[in-house]
Amino acid sequence: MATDLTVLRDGKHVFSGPTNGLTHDRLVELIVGPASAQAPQRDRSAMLGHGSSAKPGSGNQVSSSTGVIARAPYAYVVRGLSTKDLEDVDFTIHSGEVLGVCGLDGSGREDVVYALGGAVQSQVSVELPGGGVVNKITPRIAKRCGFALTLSNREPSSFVGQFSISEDLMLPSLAKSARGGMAVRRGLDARTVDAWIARLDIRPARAVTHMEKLSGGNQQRAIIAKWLNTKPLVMMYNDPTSGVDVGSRRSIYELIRAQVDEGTAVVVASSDLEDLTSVCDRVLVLVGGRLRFELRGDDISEPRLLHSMTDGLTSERVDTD
Amino acid sequence: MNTPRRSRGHGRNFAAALSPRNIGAVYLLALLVLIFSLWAPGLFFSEQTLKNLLNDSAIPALAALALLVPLACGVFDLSFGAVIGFAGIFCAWLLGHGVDSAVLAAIITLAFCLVIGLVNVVVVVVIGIDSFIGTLATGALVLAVTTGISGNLILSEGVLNSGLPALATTRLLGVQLPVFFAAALMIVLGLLLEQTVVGRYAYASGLNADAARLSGVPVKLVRSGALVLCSVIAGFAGIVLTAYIGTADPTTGPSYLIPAFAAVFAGATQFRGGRFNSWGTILAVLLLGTGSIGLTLAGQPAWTNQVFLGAALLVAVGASVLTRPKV
Repeated sequence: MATDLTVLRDGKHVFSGPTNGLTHDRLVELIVGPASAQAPQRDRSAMLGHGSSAKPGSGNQVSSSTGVIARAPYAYVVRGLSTKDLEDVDFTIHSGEVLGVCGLDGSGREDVVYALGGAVQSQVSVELPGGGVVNKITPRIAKRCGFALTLSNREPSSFVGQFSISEDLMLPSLAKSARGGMAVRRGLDARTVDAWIARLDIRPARAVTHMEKLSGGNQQRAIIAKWLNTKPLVMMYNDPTSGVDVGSRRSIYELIRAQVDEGTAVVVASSDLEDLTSVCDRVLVLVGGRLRFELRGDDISEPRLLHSMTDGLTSERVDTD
Repeated sequence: MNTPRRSRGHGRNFAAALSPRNIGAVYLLALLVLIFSLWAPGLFFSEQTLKNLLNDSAIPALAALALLVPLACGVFDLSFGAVIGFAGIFCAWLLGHGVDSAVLAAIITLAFCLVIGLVNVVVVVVIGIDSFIGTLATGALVLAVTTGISGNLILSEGVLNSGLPALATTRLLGVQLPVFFAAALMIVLGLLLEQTVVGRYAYASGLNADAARLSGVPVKLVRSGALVLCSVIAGFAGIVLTAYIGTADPTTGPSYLIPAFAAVFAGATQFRGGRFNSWGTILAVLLLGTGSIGLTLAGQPAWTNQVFLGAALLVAVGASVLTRPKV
């Protein structure tokens, strides 16, 4: 629709001029930068150095960072996922793999994980690893199926602000840890919470601190701990690094790769391209509520992602005057 | 794998526990006892006064504890005052119309109160009407039904002969039975809220229902249980009230509303850092009762009690707001 365009990148002015004659590729290059378009994904190769496929039939190995025991490979097949923003999306989630989901705002990308986590209503058919199919997903059903949804700490419903780290962390797992499903075991919970605080380096390391008093990065780690504690088969994130400082961002990426190294399946929906290029093995690109592309390996680059997300949205201008 | 250190700070330190921010009402109570002892010398500071205080506080305590449950879960219940009145009238009516056993009359009455609780559930949880308005409306309906049953008269036939008054007048250590009911309920609710999974779910529902839901907390079920429990406890309070005064007055129920709200909100500022809790609620009930008895013994007219109620509520809540660290 625009006749003239100005591009800003990293706070600097990059280009101003008419849109006439501007191709989609050139536009992407302007937004993302020429260096990024050609350089290898440094972060990704370092991250993926651990090996990205599930260790086949690895038996019981306890990992040091998430305490999860490695499992035999498994898969969830999702068919016909439809929500207010999504239309008939099909895909498969594999253990030991990080699946990314991206798309512009309104493409429905967050609905993919929200629906599987029971946070929004959806029509869907999910084939579970053990056999069995689920057609309706609520938070309780999601938990039973092995899903865990970690929201961004910027979402008000991602944690209970006036709960202590301990109370909020244990909330989804409380019924399991309580005696007879009723009496809270404070001692046991205290040890569990302390272990997570130490593993994920949550500061201040005081379990009675209220969640609302923590900084963004610490809140996000506490939320991650909350859901890792439910020992999920599919760990899902939405915008895990928004509102998080640079140091915490790296540690969250490392955490995600560590989960996958133990054989857990991970799904990351994000509006942040760095999230996708840094940790994902495969990325689903949504345009207008439909699944349009699937990128793998070296195709997962900022220019390719941006190009795919905006596919069909720029067209040759018809000269009417 | 590193053995995780037990992190410091699973409880507050002693100094914080004794600060005015945490137990300001205790200091206020001590101050009041001092003031009234000087103001009404020889009359106030006695064992009899203490017993009167406890006996007079029993029913307000039951009313406040009834309200505590839904408030902790994040729902209002404004109908419980009318339920107190209803229970008293209905129980008296049963006793005057063929039911001989006080126990049977009480059980039937509580069953009806449970149904009223379910009506609240339908209005607030199922249909989704705002709890403040919804229970205000159901309360008005209950009040209308109560007035209808009583014919707008005070009922007394059958009550005195039935053995019901024994519920209220039996004494243990010189203190009436209902005081022990209230104390037991305070302990039960306190432990329920603080030591059980249901209690944690209740607080989660009250503090952030959306986050609770996503964590798998059955918020609707928890709130439903809370509304039913509130009506049943209120019903019990109404039965005790009729037992106490030997008659049933259709108009006295709603007068317990405001003191109960005052006690629960003031109680939230004590002991648990802003969370609704049973211990603080009872302390607040005793605080208000002390003021009432003290003013009476000092020969002050009845309206001063209302002034005291308002002032005490402002002081208790205000002190905790002012001493809260600025965010």
